[in-house]
Amino acid sequence: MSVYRLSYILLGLSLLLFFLDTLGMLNFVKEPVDSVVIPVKSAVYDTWALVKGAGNVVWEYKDIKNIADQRSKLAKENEELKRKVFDLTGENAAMRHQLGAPLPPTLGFIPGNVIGKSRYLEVSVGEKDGVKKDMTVVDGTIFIGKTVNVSPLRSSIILPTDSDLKIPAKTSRGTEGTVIGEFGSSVLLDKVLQKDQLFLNDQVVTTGAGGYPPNLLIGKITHISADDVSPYKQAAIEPPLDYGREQTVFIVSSL
Amino acid sequence: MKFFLIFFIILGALLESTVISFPVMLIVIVTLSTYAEENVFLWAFLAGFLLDILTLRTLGVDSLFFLASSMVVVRYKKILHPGRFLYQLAYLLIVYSLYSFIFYRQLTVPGIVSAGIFGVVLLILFERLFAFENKRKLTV
Repeated sequence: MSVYRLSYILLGLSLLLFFLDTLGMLNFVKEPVDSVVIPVKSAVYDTWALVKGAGNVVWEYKDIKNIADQRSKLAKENEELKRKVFDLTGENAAMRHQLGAPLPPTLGFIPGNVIGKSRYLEVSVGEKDGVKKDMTVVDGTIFIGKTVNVSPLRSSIILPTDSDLKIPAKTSRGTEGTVIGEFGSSVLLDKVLQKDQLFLNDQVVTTGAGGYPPNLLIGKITHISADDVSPYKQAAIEPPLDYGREQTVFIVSSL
Repeated sequence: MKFFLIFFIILGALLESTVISFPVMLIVIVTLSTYAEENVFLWAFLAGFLLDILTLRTLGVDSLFFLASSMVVVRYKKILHPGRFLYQLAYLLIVYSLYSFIFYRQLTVPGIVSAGIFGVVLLILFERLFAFENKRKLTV
């Protein structure tokens, strides 16, 4: 068989696979494949996290002492805050009882173990666990992303650093804009009107529009760039965590 | 050689789909196309198929891209042969940019530089390996 003939056969086969998968006709093959892929990817991801962690200890050795000092300071602050939370929780409960206000609606969560991070974050839960496309993903109150590809046992999550994800957001002072990713590594608050004010270190959270739950933390403002000619101004946002170090995330199944 | 390539492709696909946001497999296939003339399309198809499975992309997408990239190398062998290093590098960077923009939505200078360096390393590695393989075959 000539080399070119083989290439045309393989091209045809690839096209066939593409159309069959687009129509969802290959889903029955994906489930057994996923059950093999998940443990392998999980092992690679965990090993990589260990190697990365060991490397960071060497590189960040100078910062370790500062971190230790900060830790003891934060532990003290934490104790004080715990005391305040205790007081406020009691006060809050009393207020609720008095006003007869309903409890906030409880969100439904599907926990997923992270098994990889390339362009997307990948977790080991899929359709069989109730995951669907376009579901919001969180870690605590921190916004992680949205599900984009879902197979029977796996799901990919698009992160705020991706330019394909646009999130309606607002700052802690109420200034509204749209959060978009840049180059797969940084996050921007864009489409902020020139008349609206932006401040460094302000937190940026979801507005609740666009199908996302409200008040999920996306990050804090670290740099503001305003250009008088442009109708909008932008701010660079620093996410509160390194998405590549996530071990478990939660998919919001019901709002 | 076959076992080495299988190991290389599996490792590359696993790393690209799990921990590195960088088109490792594309660079492997494009550089391999220059040397492995006989089975290059089969390697391209298998590598793409494996990557599609591991990354949850639509099956066949990566295979199509890899096959098309390697077909260009084989079709224009006179221009992209191992002696014309700069042409090879230029072609590799064009394909990298296209792939990176389509599949990763990112195209940065550090990425292009990394692709260039990785491509050069692989070109040298494959040149040595295939030269050794040919020498071994002749001796036998």
